[in-house]
Amino acid sequence: MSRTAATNVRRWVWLAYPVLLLITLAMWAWSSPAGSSPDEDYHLATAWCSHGTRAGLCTPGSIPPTRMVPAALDQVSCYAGSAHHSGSCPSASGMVETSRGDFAGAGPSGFAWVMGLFAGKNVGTSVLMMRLFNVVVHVLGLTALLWLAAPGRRASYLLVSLVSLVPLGLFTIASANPSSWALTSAFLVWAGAVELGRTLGHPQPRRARVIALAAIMGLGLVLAFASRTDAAAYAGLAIGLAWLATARSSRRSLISGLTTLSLMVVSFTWFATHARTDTLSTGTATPGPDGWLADLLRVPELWAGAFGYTRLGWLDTTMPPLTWVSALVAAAMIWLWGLRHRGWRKIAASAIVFTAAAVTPLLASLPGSQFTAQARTVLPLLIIAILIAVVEDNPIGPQFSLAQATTVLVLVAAAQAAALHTNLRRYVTGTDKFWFSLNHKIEWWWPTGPSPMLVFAIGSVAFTLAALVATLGPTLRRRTTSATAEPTTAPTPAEVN
Amino acid sequence: MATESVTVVPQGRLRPPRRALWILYPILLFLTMAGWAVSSPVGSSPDEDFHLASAWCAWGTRPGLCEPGHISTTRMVPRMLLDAPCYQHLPDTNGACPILDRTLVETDRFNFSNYYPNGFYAVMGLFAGPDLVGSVMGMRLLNSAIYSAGLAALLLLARPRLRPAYLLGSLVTLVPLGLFVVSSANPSSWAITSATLLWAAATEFAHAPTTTRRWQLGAVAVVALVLGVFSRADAAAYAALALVLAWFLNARLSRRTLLIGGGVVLLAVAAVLWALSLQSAQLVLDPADGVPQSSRPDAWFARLRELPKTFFGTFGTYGLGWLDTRPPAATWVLAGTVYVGVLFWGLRKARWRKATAVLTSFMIPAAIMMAIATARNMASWVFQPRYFLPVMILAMMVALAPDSEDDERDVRLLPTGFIVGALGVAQAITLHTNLRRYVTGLDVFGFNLDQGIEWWWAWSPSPMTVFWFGSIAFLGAALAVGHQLRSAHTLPRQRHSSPTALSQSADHAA
Repeated sequence: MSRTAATNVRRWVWLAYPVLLLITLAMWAWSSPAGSSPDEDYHLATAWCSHGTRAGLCTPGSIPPTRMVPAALDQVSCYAGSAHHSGSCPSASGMVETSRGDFAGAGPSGFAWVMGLFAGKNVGTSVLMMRLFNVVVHVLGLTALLWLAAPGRRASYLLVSLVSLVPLGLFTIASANPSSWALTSAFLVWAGAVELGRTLGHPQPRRARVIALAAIMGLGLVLAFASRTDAAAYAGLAIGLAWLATARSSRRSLISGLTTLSLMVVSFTWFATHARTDTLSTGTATPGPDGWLADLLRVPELWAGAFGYTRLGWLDTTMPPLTWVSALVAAAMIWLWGLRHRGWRKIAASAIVFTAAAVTPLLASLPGSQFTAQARTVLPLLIIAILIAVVEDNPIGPQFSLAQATTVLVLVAAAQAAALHTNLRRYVTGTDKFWFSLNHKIEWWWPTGPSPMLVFAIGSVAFTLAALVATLGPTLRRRTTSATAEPTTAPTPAEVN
Repeated sequence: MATESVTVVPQGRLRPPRRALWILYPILLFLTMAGWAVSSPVGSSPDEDFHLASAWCAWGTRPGLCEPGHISTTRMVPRMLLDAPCYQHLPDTNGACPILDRTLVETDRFNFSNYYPNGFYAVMGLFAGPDLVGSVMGMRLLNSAIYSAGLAALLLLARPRLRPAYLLGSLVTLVPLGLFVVSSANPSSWAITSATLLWAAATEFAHAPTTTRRWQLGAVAVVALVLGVFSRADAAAYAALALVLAWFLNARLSRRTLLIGGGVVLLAVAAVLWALSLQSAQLVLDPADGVPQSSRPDAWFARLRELPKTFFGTFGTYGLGWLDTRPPAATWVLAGTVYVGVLFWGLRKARWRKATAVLTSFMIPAAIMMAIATARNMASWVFQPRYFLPVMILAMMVALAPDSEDDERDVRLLPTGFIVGALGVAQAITLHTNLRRYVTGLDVFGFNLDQGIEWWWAWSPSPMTVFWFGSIAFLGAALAVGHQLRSAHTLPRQRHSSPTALSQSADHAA
């Protein structure tokens, strides 16, 4: 290979990451039956009815709060909470009346409307299409962001994507649950706004670039507003933090500050108007029986939960320590390493995000009950926190040694493989079986397509390769291109900007 | 890898840092451990009844303390020893147990068959007496003092530029399990002390600038070796590993190196043989020794999936005490983040030797654990985190020690404020949890430990006083480390000796 060809490969190798991530997410989409995400029966019924009356899909019920939906839809999550049962549900035909769904448009309805486009006779096929659509939305958004980011920050974004998604992010993004969009939005809003702010900070910003970045941020905002009320609030927070990261005292910053402020007001208003009516995310601020302090000290359990310490699916799929320890360790390593260069803006932003991540679960716990918040509600905040730590003030990328890159690679690859295997095991036979081979005595699987073991193999290999690109890619590039000046210290952001 | 660093460092403030403040760390650490020593009743460490009976019987027959039983494998010991941990595995029960009954009863639960090394028990046996509380407090304070004094000696004798690394290595490996175990009457206390001191002392020995200094560091290393060899079989094996790694990381090709290497190998082999001679090592030597077979298929896979839990458990996902005192998630998330984050920082310029050494520290015990579990067909989670804390300390020490041409001002890359704050908070939470568990049991909630006390000492300050005392002392200790790290920021840049440590320092000696 000639020298220029090698340089070209290195320059474009990052493009392999979104492709490999797409493959991994597609395998996750394939790894569980319809109905596997939390409250998916509710979300599917909402989607089926999001376009009004459609024969065979959704017809009016006997009273206003109910609808007639296919019986198969009503039964779709029959295995929920019973981890020993496989993912197979009794076949059902005809229509049944249900009140389980947001038929009055109380919560954000955009997600359900888009998902409703995929509603069809075969629930399984419809759900697979929804999942793949959500996967594509995520990967396209990420690719656009990577495309527009400067090489150093691009490497940082790759790294954040790598360490923040295993396993809950992968499961949720590749699901028919609105939290999928909430996670995608968490990536796009902060990053899009920061890149936009930096571009606007240039004396003569390129117009196409400004528009493209604004579009990415806008996509993130739309996804947030359309999916979950808390996602809208997080998007507002993310925009504010992005402004904090990029604002300089100038007239332009004042303008962007006012824009930021108005977007934040819109986000929080959206949150406030929907929060009371969205039955799935409301809560009242009352402490559990052990008091505020005890609850607060338990909150980090949810942070760890985002890395698999709490269960996937309908909170019935326990992840093995190989997943949650490895994923948590990798994320913690990257977060702390990201803090190696830190200005006051970064410290302030981190403090704000972690305060939000500590307080939100307390507010979201249901009245009078034990601490009921779920890890997926704080994962968007953790993604923003890791983004801030890794991307801000680190303009030349991760600066890994070979040992560091290998450590992260091994940890996330092992965590993902163990997670995907466990998720498949839970639905193929239920967790009461222990074989390594997932093809042995299958109790549930899709009628066509690759076998469970093949899905496991493809997903694990793809993610391992993705990890290879995200960890060793920048290391190798740095070794070859900057052999003369080993940057043990990054130039300070002021020098770069 | 480039040789010259492009660094942007404030060269201005070169005010000589108050380097001597490092001494605050071992002092404050001892005070913290004293707080921990008071925070739980007699018998609170795992298998403490066994360890106490072994200590009472370590000096043979002593009237009223240990008398012969009816058969050779039993002894008569005061009943209070066996009753002390009556609350074991009952986290909702307070720490009150009958500990005044000095009637001699027969037991086979002691170190009769050379199950563990007897050295630890011989020393602890010096404290055996009719007053059980006084005896155990003496043991706990002595073990705390050994850690603190040993560390102080190491820090005093070490090359000044290495001091921050050793301080940090100690700090980030103590919360929460380390503090509990070091300040206990359990042999694991010495195992942890040995792991903290041995590798560092042996490395400093190799780099000692003068003969006197070399002898002094040699003495610290010998003490650390003795602590390891005389506490637990695995600690003896870990001591051997520490010595081999110290040689491996510092050796350069020369005749003297080979001679020293030969000495290291002899010591290491001796330590391993000693470890294998102990009864507790039978687990390794005779792995198929009648344990119920698991019927699960592909059990190797289950063991592999569970393996990381044992290491991570040192941060508190496993309970302290008789595995029954689980601190809240805030402890293990904070302490775990700091440990792995600092370890990762230590790998920022890992050459092949350092990378190999860190990997070896984790892999050897993991491999042995997997082998034993596989041969005996048992679950890997029967192993307790405290068996693996010593190697996690060893790995941390290795990772933190700068490579020869490293720039030790890289400590400015560490978020020192976060590390100090996170560990200070994690320690306080854990000490509170530990106190709560014994004062009332974990069925009671609330911040004020002095309210509704069900068990406490008659002679000690109140639980809340102990909590504030321990928490502030540890925060102070962490701040002392933070201060030393920050001082290292302003170190003048120095060219270090070329990496011919052993042979060169040998020249010094000559």
